[in-house]
Amino acid sequence: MTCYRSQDKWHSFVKKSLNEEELKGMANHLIHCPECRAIVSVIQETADSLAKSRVILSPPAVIKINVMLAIDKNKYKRISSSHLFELKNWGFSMVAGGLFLLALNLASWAPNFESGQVAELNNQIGKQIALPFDKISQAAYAAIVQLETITTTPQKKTSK
Amino acid sequence: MQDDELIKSILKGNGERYDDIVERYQAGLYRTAFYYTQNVEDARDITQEVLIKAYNSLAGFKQDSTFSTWLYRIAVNHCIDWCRRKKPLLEESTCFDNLRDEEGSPEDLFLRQEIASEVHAAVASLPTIYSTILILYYFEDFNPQQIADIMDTPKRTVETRLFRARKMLRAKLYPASSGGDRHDLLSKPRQMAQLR
Repeated sequence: MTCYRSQDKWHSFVKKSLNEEELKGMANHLIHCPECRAIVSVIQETADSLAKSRVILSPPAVIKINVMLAIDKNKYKRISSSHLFELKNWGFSMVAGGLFLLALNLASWAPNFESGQVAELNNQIGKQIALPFDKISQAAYAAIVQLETITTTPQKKTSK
Repeated sequence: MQDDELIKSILKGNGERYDDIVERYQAGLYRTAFYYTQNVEDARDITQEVLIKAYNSLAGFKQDSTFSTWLYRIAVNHCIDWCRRKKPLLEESTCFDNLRDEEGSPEDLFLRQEIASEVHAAVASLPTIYSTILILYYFEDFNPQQIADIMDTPKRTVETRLFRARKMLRAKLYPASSGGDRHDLLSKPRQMAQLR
C-alpha cells in the first residue's frame, strides 16, 4: 500500500475534508502503518488545541455603519450611466455631422432644382468632391517644388 | 441571493445592496483580522478598510474565482501589510463569547481564555505565510485548494506549509515534546495538559 506520509494529506484526513474513497483508503492504511498513526495523532493534538482556541467574536455594529457611510453608493451607477452618455454623445455627434454635410450640399443643389437643370447635378457633385482634392494636390505639388529648390540649391553651391 | 447576483446588481448601480455583502462577510473578516492583530480595535479598522477597498475594486473582480476567495485575498494581503507596518502595542485579553458558554468555574474560564490568548499569540508570532495558513485552515475552515487560491500559490505548497506551520506551532507551544530547549511560552504545563 502507498504510504501517505510524503503527501501531506493527513491534515485533510484529520479534518475529514477528503472524499469518501480517499478517507477510506487512508483509514485502512493507518491500521497497518504505526508511523502514520503517530503523525495523525500529533496532528490531531494540535488541531484540538487550535479548535479549543477558536473565537466567536461578534463584529461591532459600527463596522457596517461606517462602511456604508464611507462608500460611494452611486459610484457604479455613475460609471454605467456615463458610459451610456458617451455612446449617446457619439450618436448625436454623428447625426449632427451628417445633417451639417447634408445641409451644405443641399444649399449648392438648390439652384439646380429650381432651374430644372437636373442633368448638371452630377457635374456639380463631381466638382464639389473633386475641388478639395484638386486644391490638396496643387498644394502638395507646390510643397514638393519648394522642397526640391531648397535641397538642390545648397548642392549646387557645394559643387561650385 | 447569491454573491454573484448581488455583485452584478451593485455593478449595475445598486450600491445599497453592498449592505448584504457586509452583513455576510463582516464576522469572518473581523475574526481573521483579530487573529493577526490580537486587538479588537485594529481588527475593526482592518475589517472596515478591507470592505471599503473591496467595494471600490469591485469592477476589477473577475468571476473566475469565488467572491469569498477574492475578498479574503484582499483581507489577507491587508493583514500581512498591517503586520509589516505595525507590531501590536498592546495585546489585550478579549473575553471570548464561546469560551464563556462552556461549563466550569470562573477560574477555569479565566484559564481557558488565557490559554486561548497564548495559542493566538503563538500563531501570530509565526512568519506570516505560516500563520496565514493556520488561520485560514483551522480557524476559518478553508480547504487547501481555497487557501491556494487566496494566497495565489499551488495547492501542494499549501499542504507542505501547513505541515511545517503545525510543527512550528507545536514547537512554540510544547518546546519539551518537540525537542526544543526554549522557555515554554505557555508556562502552564499542567493546564496545557488538559487541553492536549
